[in-house]
Amino acid sequence: MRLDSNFVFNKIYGIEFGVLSPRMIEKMSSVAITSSELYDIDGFPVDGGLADMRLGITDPGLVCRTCGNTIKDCPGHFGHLELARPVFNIKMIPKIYDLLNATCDACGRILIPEAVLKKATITMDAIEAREGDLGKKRYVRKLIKHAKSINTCPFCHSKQHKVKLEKPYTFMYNGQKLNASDVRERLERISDADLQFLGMSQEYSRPEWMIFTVLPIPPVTIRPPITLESGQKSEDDLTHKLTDIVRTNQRLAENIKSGAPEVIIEELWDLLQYHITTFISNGTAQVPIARHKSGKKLKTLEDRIKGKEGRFRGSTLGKRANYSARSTISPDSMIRLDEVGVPMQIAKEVTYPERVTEMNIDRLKSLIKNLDGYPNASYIVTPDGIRRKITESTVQNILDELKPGYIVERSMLNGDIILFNRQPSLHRLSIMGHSVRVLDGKTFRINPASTLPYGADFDGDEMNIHVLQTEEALAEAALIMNIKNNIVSPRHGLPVIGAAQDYISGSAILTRKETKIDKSTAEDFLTFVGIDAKLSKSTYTGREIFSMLLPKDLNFESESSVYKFSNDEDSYVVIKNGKLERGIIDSATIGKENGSLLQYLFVQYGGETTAKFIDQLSRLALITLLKFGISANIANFDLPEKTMSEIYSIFEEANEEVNKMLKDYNKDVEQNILSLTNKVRGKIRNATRAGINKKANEIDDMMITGAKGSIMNFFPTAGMIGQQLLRDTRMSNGYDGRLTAHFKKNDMGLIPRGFVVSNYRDGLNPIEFFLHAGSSREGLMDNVIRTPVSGYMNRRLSSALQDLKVADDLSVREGNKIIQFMYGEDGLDVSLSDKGELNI
Amino acid sequence: MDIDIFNNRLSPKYKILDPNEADKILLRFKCSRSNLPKIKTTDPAVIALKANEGDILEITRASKSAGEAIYYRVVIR
Repeated sequence: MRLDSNFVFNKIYGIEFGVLSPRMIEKMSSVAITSSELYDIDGFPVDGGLADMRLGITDPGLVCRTCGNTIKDCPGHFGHLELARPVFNIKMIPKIYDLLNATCDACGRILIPEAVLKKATITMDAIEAREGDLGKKRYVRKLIKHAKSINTCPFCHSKQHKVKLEKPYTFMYNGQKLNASDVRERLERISDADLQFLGMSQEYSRPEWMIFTVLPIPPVTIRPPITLESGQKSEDDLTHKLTDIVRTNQRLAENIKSGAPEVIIEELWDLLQYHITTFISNGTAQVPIARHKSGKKLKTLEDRIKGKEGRFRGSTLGKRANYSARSTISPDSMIRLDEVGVPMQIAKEVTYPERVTEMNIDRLKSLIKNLDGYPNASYIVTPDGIRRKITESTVQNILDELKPGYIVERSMLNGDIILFNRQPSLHRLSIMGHSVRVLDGKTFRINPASTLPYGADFDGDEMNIHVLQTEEALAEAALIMNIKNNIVSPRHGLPVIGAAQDYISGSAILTRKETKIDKSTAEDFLTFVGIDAKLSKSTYTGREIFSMLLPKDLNFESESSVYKFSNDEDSYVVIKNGKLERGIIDSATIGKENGSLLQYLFVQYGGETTAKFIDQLSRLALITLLKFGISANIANFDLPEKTMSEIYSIFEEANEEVNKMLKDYNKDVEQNILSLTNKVRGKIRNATRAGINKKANEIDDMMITGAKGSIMNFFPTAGMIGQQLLRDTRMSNGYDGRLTAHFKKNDMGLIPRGFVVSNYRDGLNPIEFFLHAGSSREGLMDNVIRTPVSGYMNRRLSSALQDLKVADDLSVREGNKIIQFMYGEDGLDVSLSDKGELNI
Repeated sequence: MDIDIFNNRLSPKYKILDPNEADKILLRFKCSRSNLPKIKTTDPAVIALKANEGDILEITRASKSAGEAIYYRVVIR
């Protein structure tokens, strides 16, 4: 938009919504519609037809007969249609219904005595001053409700009869139908003075205006015909509906003029009402839906505004972006953390406008010459803003013409910074800056270390990229939004990017004390990782190899995950001057939402170093795993005979205790039994944990390094599954007094109430299996129900907080309104803190 | 029965800023009274303090992250 000094800037004081009066409709109309024909034999719009050229222009090159503008500037103009008989506006039916019953049948006054009205005026003003329009609306609703309940008119003392509404739009009075004319007459009788009590106004919304006598005809610009490939014109749904309306109206007018029987007129009148109803709202209850010949539902006015794809949610709040692309994602551990693999097809199609300078003109010229190859350029923009396509016929001229100041729209190149996004965008880490790496194939490639902030996996997830179009945006994406600078989350001060699963296993194996690597293998490792180092020794320990990734001046100490389990001094991580002296590098140091080492690196050395470390570490872990391998087997779940019998005796003891409780007290022991089963679970877990075979147990290795799994997965697999719960109680429903027909009635013992004695490895018996499935189903259902609920809650919160930002004085503001005087009250950037705390 | 609402461990400390201090705060945050959080004259604390419309209150609250946090509120009708 052009900034014009003649613009007047004013604050909007308010918006008044109202109902158009017939006079207004005629006043704003540029054409009276008289014909249902659209075009004549020559294909020109008929005067007074629905494509009349005074309604606006949809063809390029033509000039609007109302405003004289061409397609670009003509906003379109309303027309009007004089209806032969009045017709209800379907959206106004509830209001009309209220008004008919709140006003006198005979005199049209509101059914509230004068004295009460006087008081109401004062109350209403007071409420409006106090609570604003909403309070006024509430009060008016109360008044109408009161008026509807009165049976005798306080003004003319006539007895009142109820008007009944037969959905969708027939009013019955005393057993007789009130047609739109009758209703309009009655609405006309309502006095201007009473309108304020009915929530209407003489100026903006006289009640009788809710019934059409003149129908506004929307401009063609909102219902443009589309030209099909065959050259045939296809009209918009709205135009289709309008022709129905005009045609029916014409027939009705003719029949009235020729004095046709009342039945025929009534029928046509009803048809007109139907067409106008569906024109406004094609989907009102009990109104048949207007359809195309093909059976497709016509999209009429309401459909354009309402719902998910309507004007508000679909157009105003949900926009589509140019210079973006979407594809399936797949993992690639060999690209850098801050890269994203972009398919060649996308790199060619989506462009970046690069400004020509003395420095880059030769490079850009070579791109222009490349025409259909890659990398190439597709358009140039001259300094006066003219866009020219680069084709075989224009390329020479463009090359000659090109000079600094021009803009070349070139294809994506390796190293370009783009934004990478996965929906739902739940937090700011859902969109981060990546640098482009053009690759073969059709998927976006992402480093698996960076899946957590996006919430991505590779089961078919799709993600979007946005190619930045300005230098400012580029700078923001390269610095502030870059994934490298967002390794530590602003929420809890822990890294959200880091190793997982195999990468943890790999680095844990590498950093075990006993891991030794001979020189040639070490060379392989370092080549794979991309480290150029001279190796002098004949063997290296894994810890020495790992130390090569660390900054030379790094001093760091931390518990490892293994240390937390085993208290083994050797697994406690100590790094001195960039040398890993002891300790196992596992999930506690490098894991996602865990890694203390990553967090320390990020705060001390910055994103660049941390990202490089993660990259090199991933590769080192991978090749370690490739060389040493890790494979779990069923025997990993073997527990010693002693442990198994211990677990069974835990169960036997509990079973006896339950039976004793039931015998001694019979009733009211359910709570005690429930808490007993919880204790049993804890005991089984501890017994299992103590019994796990620690030697050569890969599952245990994965558990204690934090790579995958925990004792909560292990004990039901190897030991005993235990009590199945439904709604936090023991299972009890099913047959009369028992779970299934296999149990005795009213037996409240452990097994008859869903205690599973088997484990996953040995398998469950059919009854156990059934009960276990019941418990699992509850979990699934909870999840299904919770997801939309928490999603909606999140949406409400995001909408309320979306405009907050931290100002340069560290206050949190919405616009200039202060929300918090110091961010987080302590003014700390959590992502640069020590897990949310200040550490000096 | 009169209750001293400030005599409670959950009640924050309130102080009415004198015009001089108030101006300093507005200058420090580069904002006008309308940009500050608001508190109604009907608020029990405002009644107890006998603060007037337009006064700025300095409220010192206990804070989990900072120990003490200072907020300012402008009294509105």
